[in-house]
Amino acid sequence: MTSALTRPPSVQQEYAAAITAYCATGEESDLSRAYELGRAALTQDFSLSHLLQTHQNATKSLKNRDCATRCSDFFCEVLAVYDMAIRGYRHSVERLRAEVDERKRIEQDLRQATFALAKRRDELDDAVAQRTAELDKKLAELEHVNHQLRETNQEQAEFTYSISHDLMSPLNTISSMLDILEEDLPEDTDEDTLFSLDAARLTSRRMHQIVKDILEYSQTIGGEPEFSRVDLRDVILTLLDDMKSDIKTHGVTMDVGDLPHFFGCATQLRVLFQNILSNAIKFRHTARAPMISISAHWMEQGEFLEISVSDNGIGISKEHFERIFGIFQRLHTYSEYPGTGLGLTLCKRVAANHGGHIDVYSELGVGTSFKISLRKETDEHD
Amino acid sequence: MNMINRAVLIDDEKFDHVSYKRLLRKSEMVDEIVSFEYAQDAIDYLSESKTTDRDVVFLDINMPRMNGFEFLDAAEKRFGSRFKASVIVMLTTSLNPSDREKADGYPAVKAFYNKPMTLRDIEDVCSMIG
Repeated sequence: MTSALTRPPSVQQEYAAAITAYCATGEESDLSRAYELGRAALTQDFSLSHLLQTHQNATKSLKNRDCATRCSDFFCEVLAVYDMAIRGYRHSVERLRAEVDERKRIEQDLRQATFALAKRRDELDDAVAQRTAELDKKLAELEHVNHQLRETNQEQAEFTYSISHDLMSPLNTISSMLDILEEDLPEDTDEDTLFSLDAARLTSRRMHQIVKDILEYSQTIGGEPEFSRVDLRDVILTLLDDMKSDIKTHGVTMDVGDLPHFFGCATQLRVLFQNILSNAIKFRHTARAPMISISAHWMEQGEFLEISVSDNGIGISKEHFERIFGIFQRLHTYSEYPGTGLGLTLCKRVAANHGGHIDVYSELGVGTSFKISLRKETDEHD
Repeated sequence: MNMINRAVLIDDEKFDHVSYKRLLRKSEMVDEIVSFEYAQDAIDYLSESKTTDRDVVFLDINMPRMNGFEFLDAAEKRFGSRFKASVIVMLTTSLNPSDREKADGYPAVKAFYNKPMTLRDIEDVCSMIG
């Protein structure tokens, strides 16, 4: 058989060679070639009719009797491969069919799960929408209440202010009348009468101060404070200048450290420091020269500015640390130290208006430190 | 009507002491008057001195350091059950009704008057003692 020199032999050519060999020898080893050829033919997609054609072409020239049996044996071997394949194919088909059914079942489950998920998602979306609507409603209510509270506060502050203002007038009258009374008293008026008159004048002055303090308090807490860039050092120095006669009279040593600019309400901050400083001078210790120091530090990674005002005055007993911030709460009688008990209440309010608070550190007989923490607000211009 | 043996005044306002003393003397129903500006000093005094059932404490409410109610709490703690028998008269300029209600909770408080006290009030107190 001639074959192209560059191409490997075809199945047909090999078939022809193999069957011829088997016909000649009848050897098992030659017969086993049929098996390989059957597989090769199957691989190359020979149809049965093509295979038969190949066999017929190969056996055309093989004519003797021995050959006929061997030829059909050979062909049977080849066919056996096909037979197995078909059977296997059937198995495969069944297996495939089983796999397809399984896959269909899985897809069905998947579809059901997807449907269930989609449904759940829709339910959740509804729940979220409902919750959002509830929260919006709540928010609207809160804003409404907040607005009302602001208005009420404002109203109260205005009310307090106008009452205090109205009290000033009759107080002034009382004061004037007392002055007239004193002027018109005869020279030989007895001590008790003079004492009573003095008591009345002193008390009316005291009341005048209370009303003034209330006025200042209501002005400070009422309305929206205006925030701006405040030079704290300037605020303190101006205050100290206002107080310079007291400072000189009592021999107060002031130590003012570096104070930064701060975004806050200038008027309120002024009132706060005015109260703290006047207290520091008022409650000085008689046995030593008064010393007051003011310093500032940024705390909590720059979130708060803490300003300390420390003195070596009479100090405060620990049990009273909270009481002193209460409205009209004092630690001394008026005759010992004059005062209304509103100063620290006001300071606490101002600190709160700046998102902060005041802490007091003190030891009775040693001195006191007020630490005022103010939250840093960012200016639009920062 | 019984006389008040000793009137113990507890009030932070010195001028009020003057008024009380004047009134008490005028009533001619009080033998002795002692006065304190701080409630704590009154506690110390009461624990040291001998008291009779004809002693009356005139107690202000709003005072620095220890107010009237805090005095009552401290006295109850210090003197125990015998304090309940004392005659405490509470005085206030406050119009706050809750003060009166709070005073009702103290068995030692036998009367509650708004300042200024009157002679009539003193007479009422005298009829409570003894």
